[in-house]
Amino acid sequence: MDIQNLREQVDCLLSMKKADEAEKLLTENAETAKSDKNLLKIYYLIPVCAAEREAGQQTLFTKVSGIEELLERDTKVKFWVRRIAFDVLDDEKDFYRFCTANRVSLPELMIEAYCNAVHKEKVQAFIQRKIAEGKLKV
Amino acid sequence: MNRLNDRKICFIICSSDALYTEECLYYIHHLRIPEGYEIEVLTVENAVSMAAGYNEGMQASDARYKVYLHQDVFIVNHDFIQDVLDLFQADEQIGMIGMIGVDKLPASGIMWEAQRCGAIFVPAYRHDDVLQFGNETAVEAEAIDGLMMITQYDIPWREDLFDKWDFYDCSQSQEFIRRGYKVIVPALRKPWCMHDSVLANLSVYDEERMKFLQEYFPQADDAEQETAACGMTVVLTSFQRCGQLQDTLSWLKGTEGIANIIIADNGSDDGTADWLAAQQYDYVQFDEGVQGYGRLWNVILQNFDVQDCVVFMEAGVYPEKMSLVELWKVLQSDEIGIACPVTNYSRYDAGVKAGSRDDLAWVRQDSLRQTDRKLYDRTLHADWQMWAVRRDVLQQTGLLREELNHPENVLKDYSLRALRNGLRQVQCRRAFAYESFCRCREVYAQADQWKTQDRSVMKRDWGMNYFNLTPNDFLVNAIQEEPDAVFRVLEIGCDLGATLLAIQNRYPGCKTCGLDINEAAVEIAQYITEAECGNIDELQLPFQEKFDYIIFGDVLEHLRHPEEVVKMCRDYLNEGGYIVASIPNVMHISVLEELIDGRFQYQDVGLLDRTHIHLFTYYEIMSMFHETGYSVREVRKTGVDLSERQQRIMRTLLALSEQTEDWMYEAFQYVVKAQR
Repeated sequence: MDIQNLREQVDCLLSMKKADEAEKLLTENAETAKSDKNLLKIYYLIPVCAAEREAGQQTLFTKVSGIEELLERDTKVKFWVRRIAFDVLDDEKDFYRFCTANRVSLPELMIEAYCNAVHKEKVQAFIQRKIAEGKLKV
Repeated sequence: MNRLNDRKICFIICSSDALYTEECLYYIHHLRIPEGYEIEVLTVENAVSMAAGYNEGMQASDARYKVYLHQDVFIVNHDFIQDVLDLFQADEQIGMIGMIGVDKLPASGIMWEAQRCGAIFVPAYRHDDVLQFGNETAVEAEAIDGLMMITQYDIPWREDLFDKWDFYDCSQSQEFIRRGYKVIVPALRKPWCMHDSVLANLSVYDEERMKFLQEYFPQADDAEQETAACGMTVVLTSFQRCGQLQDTLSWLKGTEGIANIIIADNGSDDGTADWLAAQQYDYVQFDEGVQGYGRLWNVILQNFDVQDCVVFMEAGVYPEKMSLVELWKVLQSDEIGIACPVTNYSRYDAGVKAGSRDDLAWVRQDSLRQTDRKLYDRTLHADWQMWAVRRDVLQQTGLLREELNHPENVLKDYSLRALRNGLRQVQCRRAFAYESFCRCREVYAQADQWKTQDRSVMKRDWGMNYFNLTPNDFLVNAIQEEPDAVFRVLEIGCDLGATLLAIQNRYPGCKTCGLDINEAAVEIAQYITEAECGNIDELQLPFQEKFDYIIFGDVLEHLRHPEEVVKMCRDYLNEGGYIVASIPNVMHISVLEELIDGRFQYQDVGLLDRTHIHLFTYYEIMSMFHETGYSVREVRKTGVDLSERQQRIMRTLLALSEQTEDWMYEAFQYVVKAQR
């Protein structure tokens, strides 16, 4: 399957809320996915879905209705965890509001922190601390 | 724009993604602005090329200092502006500053093929999140990476030449240098920015590269000519791995320098034969069953036309694009007979972990980090999974030994024969290959049997039971000198000279000598170093000059009088010279475990080698060196993983003695550096 075809099929499956099938398709075509900038990003989100499934939660792929939305969400989450990492989080409440509004799960935050943030442990500890303080609800 | 504002810094971003640009600006707005200065931010949208976009930004701003950065670069050093101003104001000759760069561009013009300097944070899925090349002082660069380029003079970007998104950065670096300015990468103890790049679009990269080379390095055409001249025969061996064979062949389509491929199917019954019959490749199929490699490789050499250089490789080995060309280039030297690439396994001990062929860049980076710019290292241990040889060497040295089966032994025998003909065996630092398996036994069930069978042939031909072709890195690392230092090293028990060869590679100014009791080994070692045959237990050395290091790699335990030998070495060491010795630790928990079970079984190799005459513990080693007048400067320990039972026994033993510590049970060997 070529990149274009894979992209269209994944997009279609996400829009039809067939998240499991989208995951399976990406896994089966891993080499193709890894050779495209955007599909690669999505491929690296599969572990988020797996962790959410294990935790009995709704998976990330079910929360979006297409590739574009998923990529934008991924970028935003990534930016938030980096702001924490680099001590430039101006208003913590904005971050909490974003997480609530977008139904961001703990596995999503933790894996994004692991994959994208510098000072990973610091970010993960921050998230745990804010959950314990009741400020962050994921 | 006539007069530039000395108190102003302008950030210029070519924007194509609003989300990223917004984030990039977020970080810029968090920077501390030095008193008396102002900042300006310009985003250029819909630029037709990076150079055009940057020219537009440059012309629109009167700031003296301009920071051209990608939208996916986030500046995390809050004092970035002050740090940049400090650099520019300290040296007016500095025209441009980058975060990553190269002091010397390779002939290909490809920056990442050279040893880079600088530091950035990068998104890390599997690796460290810092890309740090560790320059402790500022480096004058021939080119810097376009992720962020900071200037204090306005020089037009070459949009006339570079109308896309590649090589505008190398070009701008050269434009500054042409005008007599310095382009630098400062010493970055911590990265100043994060670059959130994933995959680059390199679809027109080569076209742009050629433009760059023609404009700034016209002589680099030679490199292209070399690539065109290189035409190697690849002999590809496969057994029961039809899928991997197909994968390797597909991969080789992207590898430069191949004239023809000959496939040797070593008796597979997995459908390889049917698949091969439908292909256009030259091939041979051993339908009578698996062949030893001496015969297998000879069949190819005797029955097919091969080019001036031949590469033997296994299915499942993936060379980088230019690796065959690099091997070919090295083989053009008459002194060199055999060349092999740097692989994931050869750099593993240096801490480079490459889990897939995509990780070869890490192997490359580590290999090219060495600063002496040598093209190759001499070795005694070429890699049977991929090695290259010149056809005239094959004619001169003769065919491969058909009585030998294991590919490692076939190559070992061949490379020693080549060495006797005065030909070197080298590992090319600029050729890289990913090997998907490590041991021959992962491919052939009979690999161990082959080794046993080959032993008698090797013993008959070379007069040795065991061939130590791998350097003792612990001993080599214990020598700490400047790269250009001139000094003398003697190795007692030098065997074939592998460790001395590694020391020569690292310290070209070092004069090495070796002594060994085995006449056959000395005969080989003499092709590498000044070597003499003799028994050190007789307490004399056949060398007149003194040495700065005398090394004993697992030798002292074999001597009748180790203490006397160590004492005698004082007379052969310069004042302040060292003995470096690796010595097995008889107190290792594995030995004690055996003893507790009532066993003390000698073996062919290891801690209970049957030829060990003296046994040492830490205290015995210390006592030997102190009593012979040395000061022990360094003791390192090598270790192996302990089983749960061993750990339990160790805890029990520790409770019984106040004079022992856990590391005394854990140390497999001690590496001691003792000074005269």
